[in-house]
Amino acid sequence: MKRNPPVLLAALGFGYAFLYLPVLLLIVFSFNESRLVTVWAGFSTRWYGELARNERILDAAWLSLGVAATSATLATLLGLAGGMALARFGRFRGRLLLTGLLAAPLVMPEVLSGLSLLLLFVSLDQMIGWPGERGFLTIVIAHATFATAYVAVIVQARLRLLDPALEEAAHDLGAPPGRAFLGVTLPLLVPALAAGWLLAFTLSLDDLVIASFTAGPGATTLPMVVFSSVRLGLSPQVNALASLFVLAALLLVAAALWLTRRGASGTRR
Amino acid sequence: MTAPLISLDGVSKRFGEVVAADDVSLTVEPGEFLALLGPSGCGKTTLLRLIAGFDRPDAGRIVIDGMDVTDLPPWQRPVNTVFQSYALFPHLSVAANIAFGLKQDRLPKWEIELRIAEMLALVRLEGEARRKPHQLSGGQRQRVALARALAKRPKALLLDEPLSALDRKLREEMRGELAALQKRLGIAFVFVTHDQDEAMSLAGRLAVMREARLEQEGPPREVYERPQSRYVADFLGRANLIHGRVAGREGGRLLIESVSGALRLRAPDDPALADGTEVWLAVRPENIGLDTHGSPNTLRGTVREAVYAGDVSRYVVEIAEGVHLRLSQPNRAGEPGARPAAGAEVAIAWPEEAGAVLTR
Repeated sequence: MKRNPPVLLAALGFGYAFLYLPVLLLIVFSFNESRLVTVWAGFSTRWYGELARNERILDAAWLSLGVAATSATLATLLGLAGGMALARFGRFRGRLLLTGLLAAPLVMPEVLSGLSLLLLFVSLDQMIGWPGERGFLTIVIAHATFATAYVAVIVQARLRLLDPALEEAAHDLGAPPGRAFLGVTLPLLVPALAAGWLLAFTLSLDDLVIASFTAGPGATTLPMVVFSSVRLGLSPQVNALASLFVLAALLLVAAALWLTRRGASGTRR
Repeated sequence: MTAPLISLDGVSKRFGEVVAADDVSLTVEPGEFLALLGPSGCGKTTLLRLIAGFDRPDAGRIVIDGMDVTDLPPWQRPVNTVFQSYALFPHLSVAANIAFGLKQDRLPKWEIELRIAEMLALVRLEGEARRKPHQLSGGQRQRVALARALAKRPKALLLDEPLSALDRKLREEMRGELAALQKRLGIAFVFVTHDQDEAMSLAGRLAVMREARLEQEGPPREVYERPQSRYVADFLGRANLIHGRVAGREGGRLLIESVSGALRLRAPDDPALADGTEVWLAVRPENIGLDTHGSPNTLRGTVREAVYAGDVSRYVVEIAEGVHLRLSQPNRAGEPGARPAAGAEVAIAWPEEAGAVLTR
């Protein structure tokens, strides 16, 4: 085996340190006894305990989880439809436009997305009286909007890898399109859909900018609570909360990766 | 004469600018093994897809078992397909793959179980029922694809180059199995292939396709020995084509004079050919001998190439300025036989009846 030169190893180490040292520091300090965030005073799980009693943070956490789950589900359904259309319909009028439109939220600055959605909700409310006060529903719609793009890309990639003869085989064996989709295509898309759902969930849980634009006075998501508490002065509770988030995100991403890998078997050779 | 099982009547199909089937009429008899043969892109797979129903013809009718299926979707047609890629459902076990089509028919559970067992026994995969496709070898997958398609007891089985994904040895093995299976079941097989060996050794009847059209059909031996066009003569095996015209008749034989006028050759008579008609005389390399025995079609020439290829030796002999003939001689042990080297002067000859006179 070729030995890697020390310079490269050092560069790799520096790169990872740059990426993960702050996170590591955050986790270490979440077990800090001291009230001051940056002064180490011994190991303690005290802030995790306080976190569990903080109504404001817990409410926000539940709201965030609800928003994430709902918007991820919505995005998965929409992304499935969009991905199917892009991968299966071949050339149709407006295909390029649809591809571009679907991918746009991936590169659109969040501030723009947030602002445009806010304007939409406000003017919709003035015109037809819906969606009324901004809150859970508007955040869900906003998050589903940008997460759909991610799901569609994943679904489309997976469909491209599937042998088109699989659906034809189902038809050949007597299954009309509906049953062929349910019996063959959908099961083969499950890993992609699950990965897409998890990604959408994580993106929603993580989002501060778009949520800030589309949330109302009654609805504050977890990132919004964290951000505002940082401005008011850091509490070590935020460290504890962030550590839990890192753990959760890690697990979800690992699950998404595992599902994608597992889905890779059974594609066309 | 019974009615044909499948009949295509003036079927045409184009994909944009590309014509994939051009006014094709073809019948498949019950229980026969028909090979659709042609180079890639000649439309043979399209024809199969039209029968299966994956594509709809632009013109013409398709009748299967007395029922006009032209406008029926694939799931309502009494035929099943073995795909080139097998298209086994990767998320289902071997048994579930076989059961897929039976469940669509809502057969009772016991009957499905019975058919799965029957099919697994048929393709000798009894021990693999619970396996997933990716755990099987190429040959096993091929047999699962067969079992899945046969489980519905189709009127005809459509096979799209089913052996092309297998390596050479396995392919020859599967060839034998396919032939035996077809004989045993008595179901009509329509087999698409570009491999002429495969087509000739398996099929009871060949349909040779060329550029979206049916070029010639008939039993393999007839098509091979009596090709009707230069295309078929050269696509099935090899053929020497000598360009000339009809120069008259002599002793019940057709006289053909080569274009240059240097050669006068005798061939089986065809009363339809008038004197002066432009023709090509096709002669297969294995029909040309190096020992002449006083045959009327004896020519003298110079060996330009001599290649020893194991079972046969191949030669290229120049018989006139710019006219080269290929010939092959079997290499049998203990037969001294002449083995001329390049540059040698030789006499070559072929029986008159071995030549086929072609007008196109």
